[in-house]
Amino acid sequence: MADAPLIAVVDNGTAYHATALSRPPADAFYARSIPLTELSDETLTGVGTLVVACRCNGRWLAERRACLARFLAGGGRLIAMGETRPDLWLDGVGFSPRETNYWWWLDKEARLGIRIVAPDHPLLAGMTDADLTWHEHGVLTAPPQMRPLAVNAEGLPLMLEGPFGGGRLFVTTLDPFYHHGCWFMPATTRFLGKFLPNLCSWTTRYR
Amino acid sequence: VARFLFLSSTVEVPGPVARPPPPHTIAVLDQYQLDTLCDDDLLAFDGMILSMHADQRHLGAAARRLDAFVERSGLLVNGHVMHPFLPELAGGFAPLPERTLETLTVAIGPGHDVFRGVSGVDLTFRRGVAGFWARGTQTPPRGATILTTLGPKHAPCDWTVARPGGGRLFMHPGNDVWTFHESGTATADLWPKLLDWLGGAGHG
Repeated sequence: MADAPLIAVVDNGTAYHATALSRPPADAFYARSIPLTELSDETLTGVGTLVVACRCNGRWLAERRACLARFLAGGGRLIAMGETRPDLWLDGVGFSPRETNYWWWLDKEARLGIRIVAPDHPLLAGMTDADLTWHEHGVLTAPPQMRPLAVNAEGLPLMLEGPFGGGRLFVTTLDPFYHHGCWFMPATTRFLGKFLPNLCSWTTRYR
Repeated sequence: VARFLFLSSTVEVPGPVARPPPPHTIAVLDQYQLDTLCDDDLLAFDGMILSMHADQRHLGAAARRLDAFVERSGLLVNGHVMHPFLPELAGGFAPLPERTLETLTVAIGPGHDVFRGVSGVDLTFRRGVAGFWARGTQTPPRGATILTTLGPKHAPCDWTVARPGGGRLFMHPGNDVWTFHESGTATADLWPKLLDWLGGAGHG
């Protein structure tokens, strides 16, 4: 499994996932989409990288945590996107919500304060702070081998990547698939336009 | 007083659903638990409430039961419908070709109880930001009543359908309506009025 290049995405049956995953730039990065309710060892066969799209229900993922742990133990790469409550289904990952300010940008001088702190990481190649800036939903804690890739204004991580559970884990509180699929927040479409090509080359180049 | 069923598909239950405006009550059920209710169980409810976060593939698998339910009762559908689960929802969702302040401006048609006392401006902006209410059209079926429109081309936005059996469907093609239920704002009463209206299904 560790060398399998196949990328799969877990979707939750919502309209916004159906839209996001059928609309450029998020319509071509994956070879298989797996309904959350059908996540199993069988549907993960041959999958090297699994993207859990934003806002998949953390409680329903928790019901499948053993399967996800086996995927990681087999060397899989797990990409856990925002608003999925990873604290409910990934051992050792903590989540602290932040009050979301949906209006921060009305003040022309305002800054949300999200910063990339690992510009050399291949998943963030060519990306700027502005590409990560729409809403802040919360911050994460993770085991020490996980490296913070981006932080909020308080300097706390909202994106980490590193070895985890026998495989690798990328986890973030950003929710670009959701907004892209809702036709809301163009920054999220820009994020996916850079992040997904980075993801594809990362999964084939860095094994 | 009406009893509603909310099919939950998120970890947290939204406040206005968990604590509905009195005197109405809302029973919260994990969406997939719908499969464990028999049709008689559903008859106990005057209406059903579906979030934009609902698993529409699962609702599609329950289409026959939902169709029978809305024939006599109230049904609120929030969001865009990409996996149709009722005949009225088969028209597809079309986003506004351009989403600008002008095209996102909401206009309210005449005389519907739900929007009484609310202006288009109230729906267009949340704290000065446009687009929260809706960003496109869920194509209405023949016979639908258009309640609100978007932009200078009057793209249909909210609409309702009355069923011959007294049931009523309210389609809101945007963010969940209850996110506008903030005290102290002009839209604070929209949610209770919508529940009043939904609860009137089957009563003429």
